[in-house]
Amino acid sequence: MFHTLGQIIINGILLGGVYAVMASGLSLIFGVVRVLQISHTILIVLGCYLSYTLATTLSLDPFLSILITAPLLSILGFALYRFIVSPLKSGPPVAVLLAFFGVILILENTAGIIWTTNYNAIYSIYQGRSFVIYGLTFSLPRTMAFAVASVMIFALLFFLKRTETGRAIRAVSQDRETAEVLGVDVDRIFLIVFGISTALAAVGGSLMGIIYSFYPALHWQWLGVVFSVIVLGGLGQVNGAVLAALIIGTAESLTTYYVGSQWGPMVAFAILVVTLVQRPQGLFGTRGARI
Amino acid sequence: MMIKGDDLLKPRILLAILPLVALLLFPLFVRDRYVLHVMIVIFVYITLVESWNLPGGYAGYISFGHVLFFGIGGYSTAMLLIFWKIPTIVTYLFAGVFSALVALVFGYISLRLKGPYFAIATLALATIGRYIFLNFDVFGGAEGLLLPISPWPPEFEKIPYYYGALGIATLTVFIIYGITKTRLGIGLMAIRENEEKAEGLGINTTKHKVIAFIFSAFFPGVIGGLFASYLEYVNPDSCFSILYSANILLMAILGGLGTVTGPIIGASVIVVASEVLSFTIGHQVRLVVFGFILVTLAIFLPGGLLSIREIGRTMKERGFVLGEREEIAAP
Repeated sequence: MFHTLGQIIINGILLGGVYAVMASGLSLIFGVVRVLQISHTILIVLGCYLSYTLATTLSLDPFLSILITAPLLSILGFALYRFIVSPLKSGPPVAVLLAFFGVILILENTAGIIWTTNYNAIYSIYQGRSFVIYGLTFSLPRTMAFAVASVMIFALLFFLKRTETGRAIRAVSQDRETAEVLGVDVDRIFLIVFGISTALAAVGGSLMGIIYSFYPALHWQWLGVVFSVIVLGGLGQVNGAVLAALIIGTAESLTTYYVGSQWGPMVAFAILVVTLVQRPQGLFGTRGARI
Repeated sequence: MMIKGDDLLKPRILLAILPLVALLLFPLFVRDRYVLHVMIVIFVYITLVESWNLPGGYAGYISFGHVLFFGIGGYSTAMLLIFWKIPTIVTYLFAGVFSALVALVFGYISLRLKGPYFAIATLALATIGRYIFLNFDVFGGAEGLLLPISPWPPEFEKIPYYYGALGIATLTVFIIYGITKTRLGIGLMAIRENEEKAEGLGINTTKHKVIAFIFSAFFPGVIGGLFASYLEYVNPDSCFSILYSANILLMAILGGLGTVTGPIIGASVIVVASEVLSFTIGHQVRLVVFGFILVTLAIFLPGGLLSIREIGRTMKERGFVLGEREEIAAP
């Protein structure tokens, strides 16, 4: 019994690692630019499909395809900032939300036109392989996805803490006006943040595409996941988001096993609603949460 | 200004009654089943968008999950017709009441949140609702439920639903219009402009918002019930498709947020455009086009199509009474 529980928790944590990458970009945008980027998960879906196309046409390893899809999608991120967020920044927050809703319609249906609305999956050489440690089974693609996700998260945290640009990003997130006075080019920082966030979405997409099958409208499901991650983790906090992602991955895994697989996808939404209502500041109660 | 307002009232009433008479007589001249179907869909959307507009456009609480109430209405009617066999028209009322009750609970949960957080919470609540109807066997799972077949002969089967939908849509428009003229409506607009100040002025903002939310759920519930009995089936996709919420947003913003005529224009334009574009460029390309329209509207015309006229009018008014701006602002 404990063995089963351990197995379920491991599966949940491996999934949570990928959720962390999926949500970290969104968390970054919220923390720095202070807009809710609801089209973030459709960008993740695009990441899935780009990796899928590279895998089927060039038979490129899906993990390696990240090196192409991340820069490619970050161009889209730059465009989103320049053409949508930048002109609407001073307007009501709802205008940005509605514009992003439009972006979702555009991208979801474009993906549907190009790749059809059916389920797709990326086939890789890692498929179906696994290894056993202390009697616990580790699926190879999931473990590799978790490893790549961890590297990405640590790289992001290192970048934010140790580099000049990273420090400027954190400065803008903490106090935009002061950062501006001190000579930080806020517009440029926002642009960079959108680029990084979209690149992270691409990574999350490739990883998700390796471990799950996907279809264009799946991003609605993932929207619940990433939002519950960033709300539970404390809006705008990347560290908190990582912990929240592991919690939500585990909760989903436990629910799928003990309650029924059809309820698994609902867990994230339930956690989201409960957190928003009971603890809108998230697990760690930040000042940044403005609700 | 008061006298001017009264003068405006007469053509305004005419403007409301003439189309209504035309719509009442419409099925006498047009028997085409497809045209009647499109008209029913327009009435359904007018009801949905007009209801959405009360908390959305007037109070500034944008719901991304309004389809929930439409779906609950649909399933309520389906369940009542299948298990209780009560008259169809009575089930619509129950459908509305059930939706309103759910809105009461969800309103208390979600209306504490503001702006984007409210939008996200409504999206999450609607998704949870969809899973509940999808996962419990009583509701028929993904296949849904089949309703009793319409007793009307095929050549007339659309007529009762046409008048039913027209009636509900008309009632919704008039009641919502009435509400916006009451203290409740004015309170909602105060909330939209500045919620803290509104509260400071003694407006019970929570009560206002919850009441608005209940009204905005009741009518979608009723029309959801009607639409379910019209389609003769319900399933999670027909009742809870995110596309309904997307369409509502698009229609509301196209017509203009916080106006009574906006939803009517928005719903009519988008439904007709949807039909035409689906035939010509296909369903998916149409949604891509709609996406571009939504982005463009959000950036360049946040007031919707109606605001083109309003911008022109304000400029004209300012030209006539330059220097007397207080007069314009007063009413």
